[in-house]
Amino acid sequence: MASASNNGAVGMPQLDFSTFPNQIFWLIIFCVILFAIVKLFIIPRMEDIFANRRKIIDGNVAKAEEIRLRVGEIEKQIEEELRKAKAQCDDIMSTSGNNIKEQMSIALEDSKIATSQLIEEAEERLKTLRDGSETAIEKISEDLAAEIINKLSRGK
Amino acid sequence: MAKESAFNIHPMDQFIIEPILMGENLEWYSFTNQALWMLISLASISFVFIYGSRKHQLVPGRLQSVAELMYFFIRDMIIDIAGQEGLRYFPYIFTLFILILFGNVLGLLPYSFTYTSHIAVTGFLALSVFISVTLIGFLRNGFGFLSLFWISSAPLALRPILLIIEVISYFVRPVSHSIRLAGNMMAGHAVIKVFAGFAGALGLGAIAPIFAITAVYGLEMLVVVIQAYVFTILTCVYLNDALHPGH
Amino acid sequence: MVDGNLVEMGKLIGAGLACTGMGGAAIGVGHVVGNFLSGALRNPSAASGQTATMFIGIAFAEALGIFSFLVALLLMYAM
Repeated sequence: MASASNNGAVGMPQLDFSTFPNQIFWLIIFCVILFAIVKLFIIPRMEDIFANRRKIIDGNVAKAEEIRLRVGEIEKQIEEELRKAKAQCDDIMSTSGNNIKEQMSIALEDSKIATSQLIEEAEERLKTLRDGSETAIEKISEDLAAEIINKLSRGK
Repeated sequence: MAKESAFNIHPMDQFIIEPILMGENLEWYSFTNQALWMLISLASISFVFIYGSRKHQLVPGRLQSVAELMYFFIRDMIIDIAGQEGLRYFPYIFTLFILILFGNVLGLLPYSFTYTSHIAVTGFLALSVFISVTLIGFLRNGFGFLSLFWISSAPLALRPILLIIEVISYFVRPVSHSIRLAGNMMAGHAVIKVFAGFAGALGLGAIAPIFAITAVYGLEMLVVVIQAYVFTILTCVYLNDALHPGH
Repeated sequence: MVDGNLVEMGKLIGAGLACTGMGGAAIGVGHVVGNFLSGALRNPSAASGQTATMFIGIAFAEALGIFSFLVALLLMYAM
């Protein structure tokens, strides 16, 4: 083909069968080397990268699962605490209510006693007053009667 | 004829295989420009796949993501088309894909040589695919592989006719497989060369041919990748026929 | 070509005629892609799974155009 390269291609270089053995020889060498590279370097490397990525993703997924479990545990704990606090609150509420009731009843009793005392005192005073007033009225009415009799007798 | 052309355009010159380094005569062992570009393609593949992903990065950089993209693209394609058993042949199909892809893409560089434009190369690849697929079919299914040609879902009267058609189309496979790739590569490069010849003939006023070269070059970038993809996907389809003949 | 070689002329005319077959391939490829696109626009969610099938269809349609291109090249250069 040296002459052809000087004069330009005569016909199609692709159909020049004298170059075929050379082409196929180099192609076979090329294919074998390329296949070796693919098999020995590229595939292990890519699979390694892929497996690494997979491992990390799986690790992250496992970690997320673990965290989820822990969150559930913590949630349960919080609920427990909440329930305890509620119970305590109820307890405090009920005891304080009882206390208040007791104190109120005591105060009520006290006030009852005090009022009844007051009422008694008042009644007593009223009685004395009434007694006083009765005698006064009697006296007044006696005076009045005497005066009336006096006037009447004078007028006669 | 080409040497008598008035414009002095030699679109086929770029496909000439000539020996470099060792002597003037082309022997079967002499180192040619084709072998040189195969070597360059080998170096590029090593650069992208070995240098590019040397750090085994978890979050890939630019080169590594290109390498991963190609790797998992072919892997998913095999699983999609040929099923899980097809993964056994993944190294062969992947080798085929990057060989053709890098040959095509490097062929777009100015002054480069496209080894996939030679019918000897693509014919060798297509024939090896054809022979190995046929062998896989017979080894895995025995004579059940012949049910590929006897279509049981068709009416009985049509089956002999379909048998002839299927057998012919089976044996035409390597021809169309190889000529599609070589023809596309050769046609695209020849068209670019012809427009370049026009541009050279018109001298400084050659705006239209240069614009045409740009457009054809853009189209070629697309075609180059699609042809590598098509070659690989057809290999997967043939492999699927060999693995599951009774479809 | 001015030497009036009838065989040469016949070859070139034959190559030109053979190249018309590539027009058929162009129609076929356009048909495949157009139908894919009209289907894909009706049901975009199913489209991505069928791109591989579309490319296989394109490849088969194109193969016949490549054959006519090959015939043209053989006529021009190899015979």
